[in-house]
Amino acid sequence: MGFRKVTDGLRSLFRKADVDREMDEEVRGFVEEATRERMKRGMNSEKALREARLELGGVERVKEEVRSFGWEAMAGDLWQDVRFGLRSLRKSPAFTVIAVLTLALGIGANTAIFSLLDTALFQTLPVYDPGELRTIEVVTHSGIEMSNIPSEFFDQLRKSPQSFSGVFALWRIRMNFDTGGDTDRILAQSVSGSYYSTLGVGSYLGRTISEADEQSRAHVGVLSYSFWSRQFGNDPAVLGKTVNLDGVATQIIGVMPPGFFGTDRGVSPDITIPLDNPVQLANVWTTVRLKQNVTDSQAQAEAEIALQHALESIRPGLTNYRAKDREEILTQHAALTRGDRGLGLALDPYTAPLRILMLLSGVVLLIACVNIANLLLARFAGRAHEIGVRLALGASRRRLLQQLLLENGLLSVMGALAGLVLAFWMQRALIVLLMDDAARQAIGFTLNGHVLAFSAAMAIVTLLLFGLVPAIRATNAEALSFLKRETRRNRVSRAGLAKTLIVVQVAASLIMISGTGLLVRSFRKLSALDTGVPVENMLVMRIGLGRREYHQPQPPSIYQDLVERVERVPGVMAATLGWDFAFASGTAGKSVWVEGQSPERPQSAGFNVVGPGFFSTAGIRVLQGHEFSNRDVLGAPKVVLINDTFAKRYFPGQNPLGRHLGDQGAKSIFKYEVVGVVADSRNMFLREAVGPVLYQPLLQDEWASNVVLHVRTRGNPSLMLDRVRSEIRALNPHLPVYDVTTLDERVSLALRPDRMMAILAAFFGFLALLLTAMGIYGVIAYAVGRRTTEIGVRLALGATRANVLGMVVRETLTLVAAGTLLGLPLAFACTPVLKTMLFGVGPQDPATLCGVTATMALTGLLACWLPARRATRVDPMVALRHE
Amino acid sequence: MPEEAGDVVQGTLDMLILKTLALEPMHGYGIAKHIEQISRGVFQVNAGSLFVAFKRLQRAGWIQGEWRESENNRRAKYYSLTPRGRKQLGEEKALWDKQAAAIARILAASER
Repeated sequence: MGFRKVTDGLRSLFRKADVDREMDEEVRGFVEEATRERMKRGMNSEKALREARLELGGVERVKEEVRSFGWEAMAGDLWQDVRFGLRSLRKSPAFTVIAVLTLALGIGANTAIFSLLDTALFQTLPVYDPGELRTIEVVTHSGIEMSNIPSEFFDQLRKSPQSFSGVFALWRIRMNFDTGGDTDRILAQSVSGSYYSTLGVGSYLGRTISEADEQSRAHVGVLSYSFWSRQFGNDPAVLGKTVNLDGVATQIIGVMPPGFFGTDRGVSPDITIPLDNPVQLANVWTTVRLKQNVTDSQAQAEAEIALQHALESIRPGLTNYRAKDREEILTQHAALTRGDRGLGLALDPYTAPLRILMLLSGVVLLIACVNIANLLLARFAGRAHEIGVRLALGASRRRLLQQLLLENGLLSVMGALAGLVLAFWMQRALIVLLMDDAARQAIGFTLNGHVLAFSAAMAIVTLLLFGLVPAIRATNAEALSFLKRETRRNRVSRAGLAKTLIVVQVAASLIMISGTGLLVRSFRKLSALDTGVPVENMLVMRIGLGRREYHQPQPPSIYQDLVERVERVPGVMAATLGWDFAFASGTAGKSVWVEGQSPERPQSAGFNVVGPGFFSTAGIRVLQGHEFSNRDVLGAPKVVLINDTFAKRYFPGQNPLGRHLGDQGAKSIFKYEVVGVVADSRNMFLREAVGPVLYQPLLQDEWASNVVLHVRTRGNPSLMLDRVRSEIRALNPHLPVYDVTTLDERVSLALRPDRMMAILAAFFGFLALLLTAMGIYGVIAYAVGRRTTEIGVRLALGATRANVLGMVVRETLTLVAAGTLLGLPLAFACTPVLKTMLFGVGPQDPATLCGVTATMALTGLLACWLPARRATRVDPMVALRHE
Repeated sequence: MPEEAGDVVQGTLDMLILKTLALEPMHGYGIAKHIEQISRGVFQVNAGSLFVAFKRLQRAGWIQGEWRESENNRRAKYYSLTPRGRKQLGEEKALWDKQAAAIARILAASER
């Protein structure tokens, strides 16, 4: 039945002529039969025909009645409207191109940002049925949730197979990878043998890691596709080869497919090796796969039992802990969270900026819609005659409205389609601008249902925003007034609507540039910030001297050898070592007990472990005492340096030199002696206030650890890199050297998210201003054009050019002022969403808001400049004659 | 077109057409005449409604049309009942009988 409906309908649509001819024949046959019968009853042929026709009620009318029955009639109407709309749009190509392009840009930007947000927030892992996965967490009684769980807990979990069809654990570490010349640092992940089978993913080449690999502690590894491409040039012969990973010969057994990045979007481990190999891990991330029909509460209960077993096995090892800490560990509970998106930590930092960008691009789209609405008002005003005639000839208002809306709908559909294409490029640009390498690898443009639904919604929303009001106005009763020539009232009200739209537009763009202004100002403050460390001409690199990294314990004397060698390079002024970058001191924290402070409560301080000459090389002033020297070695008295903030906070108004600190409980207070105070410097989170920082001497370490080599150079530091590297290689060719950069770039990297937000916000702000200026220009130019006669009369009656100029400018500024009055309170209400992203400016910074208002006024003046000039050039004679 | 007292009751036209075609295949005019004659002129069939009904019943798969030679040697579209149409007629007739009986009972009751 349904089938007939469709085929019949399609036949009526596409074999229209055939169907029509048949219908015609049938209806005419009816008339003939009726005539014949009447003639049989003795009527003459003429009368019979007339009566038969009367009985039928008109051949065409009947045909029309039949034709308008069925779904195809509506489809036919629609199709007709579409063709009409396309024809009408083709008649004004300039308008169509501008409108579609504007929409495409607006919808494209929104779609691009949305698809990134969608990926960051909603996209599930590319594994078999991700909905069954749960991540296991432990929760302390004070409510702290930790996803790194004790490995004993994991061991218990995999022994309890009632609820879980699979349990796997993983951990990520950086490892040294011998490239055959240099030593590179790569991201490795170690996984339990159940990892791949539980996720339900297979390898691209070779095989994956199995349970047997884990049990036999096999030295095998599976490469990620991107690492395989990067390092081995997609060579399949890599299988079976042996590579040097942290000094361990590791056999490559497989390569993963390109789309698989692991369990965390935004983190792409280069190589995957079996768990606990070579190091037994204390903590792991654990994910389980629920069996079918197992509820979360059943699974949670089972996990809880496993955790209690695990805690029992941990208990004996906790005897040395303080009672409170022991209590904290033993009262933990198990919790399950959804695992279909992995831990999702890597993309978290991007969601806040993306939300803000989404907001900004949404406002830009709104402003763009206002412009198109204004264009449409003018366009339909130009077609008032056509619309009026059609109404007068009996077209129904509904049908006409449907037609105009459809025409506008075509614009928004074309805009959305073009926007989807643009979104692809814009998204690539956004990823490059905003994200770091790892996040870039994990995100690609996916044209999924969410994104399509979003752009479809955008098309509908924009249609409602720009297309509804102009179409309704064009078809209202006044449209007929063209017959009585255009009435004054109609003209005034149309101009009034256009002006209202401008006011809305000014308000929206004011909100927009308020946000832009704040973000840009905040970035400028942040980048002008004194880090406390002169960043020029400083080469920095990490050197893996530590046992874990270098797999050979080294005496601290290697530090001195290293520095001496590097300082020998011509052009190097000084070199020094530290656990962390000079400007990043205090990014890591530790608890300290301070002499004279309450011994019960430790204070927290940032810390860095630094070598001799660290402060002079880094350019940090020593305010009191002296910095560490070559004599502060193992066995010498333990000494520390503190920063200015530390001194002021814990030794207010006192001389901190000779005072003492401890780092292992109240009894350790006299462990270290303060021998100097150094100036404050910023830590890596530049926007954070400087806190108390503690420095310990590197040479008092028993074994060498990983260090950052700082090299202060004369001139361009990059030019010294090769010489410095060859000195390190001469010291030991197997030392891993990584994260090579300049301090300048390091700071710039820390500023990167803020810089990108500022740039993108500035871009959107500029776009908003440009669109608003276009809108104002259009409306004012229209108004001036309409008032040519009036201006002519004024000039003829003695008004000066300045008067006329003032009139136009006043009209513009009135609109801008109205928009500003509307927009400022809204901006005031909206900007607090930026609060967390701002540095050094309040979200309602008065200076910024003043600047924004001035910018808006200036934009208004620029936009009305051309129409105003045209107004002053009106020739009264011409204008009056025109009337 | 003004509504006439003799117009076919809304919704019953389909049943009347099906019933008519249950006798033999007929063309449009024949069906209209048949309904008029059998009802002794009580029902006048509006040609527009008739053709729309043909389209509707064809779509529903209850009747089918085919071009044949008419008794006057002219081409005419003859409609005939499909097996599904025959079944439908039975159902509609049963429903109609039930409703008509019910209406008759109500009218009889109110007269008392």
